Amino acid sequence: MDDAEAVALVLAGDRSGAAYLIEQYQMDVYNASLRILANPADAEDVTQDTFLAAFERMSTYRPGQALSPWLRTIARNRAIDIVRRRARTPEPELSPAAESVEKIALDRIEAARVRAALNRLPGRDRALLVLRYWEDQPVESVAGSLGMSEGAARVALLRARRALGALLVQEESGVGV
Amino acid sequence: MECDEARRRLAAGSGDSEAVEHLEGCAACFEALEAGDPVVRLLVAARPAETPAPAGLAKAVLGRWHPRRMRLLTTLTTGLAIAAAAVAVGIEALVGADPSLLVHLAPGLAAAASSWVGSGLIAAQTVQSILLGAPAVLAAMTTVTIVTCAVWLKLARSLPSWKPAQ
Repeated sequence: MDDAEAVALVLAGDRSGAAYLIEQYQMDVYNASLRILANPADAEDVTQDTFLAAFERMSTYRPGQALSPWLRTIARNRAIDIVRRRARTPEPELSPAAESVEKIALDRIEAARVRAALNRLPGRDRALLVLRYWEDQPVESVAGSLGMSEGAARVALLRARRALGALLVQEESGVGV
Repeated sequence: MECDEARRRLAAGSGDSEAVEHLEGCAACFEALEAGDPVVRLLVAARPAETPAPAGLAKAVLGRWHPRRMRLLTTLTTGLAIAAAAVAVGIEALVGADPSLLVHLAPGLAAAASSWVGSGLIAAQTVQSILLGAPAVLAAMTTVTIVTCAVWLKLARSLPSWKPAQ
């Protein structure tokens, strides 16, 4: 079976087509959700909802269109909805950057510590950085996902990077740890 | 504000409104700042490896999925059950109120539909006369009808589990 056949089966209400698509793309969809939400249970819920939504909208799928990006987009939007619902804090001002990250030996900052610092950021800041630097989304797409203008997204990304940099500086300096 | 000045201020960590306003409207400055930001390199390098999806996810999705075709079947079944119950109650009420009406209804219905409908109504007259004399039997038959429709509806909604395609 291939994607086109599976889509046709789903449109006909045949479960074998749905099972095929889930088997092929569940890892892509799950990881897209997990990177944004950083919570396996939430990511699993979003993954299930993503496939169900995709099956409902399968008639809008254009033949020849790659399924993975389409499914990942649905997953990202649903994950962002959760982030937005949970984020109730007002927008902070763009504060001056903390001590420069360059002054710290970069080779001392392990990937796990970067991810841990990322998880300490507010949900929306985390989502901004994940969408842009882990999901490789253009700024326009990041802005659309989070319901902001492209200009506001540029500023928000700069702010989020500074916030992450400040956390990394704190940890490496032993301040506030 | 010129791009060079805005980039200089923002790269130095400034948050002044003029530089921020410039950044909002300048994609080139955003990209330049991004390219020179060590946090971006750290983030990209820290991208996590792919994690396998949880076991049982496919089964969970398929258990929640009710394709339109099956929903249509459920809707039709429900509609037919309601229509059948309404017709049965209507005939019961009509014939019960005035049994002589059946005499007028039967020929008309038989002319409009197949002959078995008329024969059925004549049989119904016989049953009706029995039931009106035995309300407990009528109540029991009504209960059986409702339960049968409910079981029928439940069977129509519960779908068989499918094995994933190999």
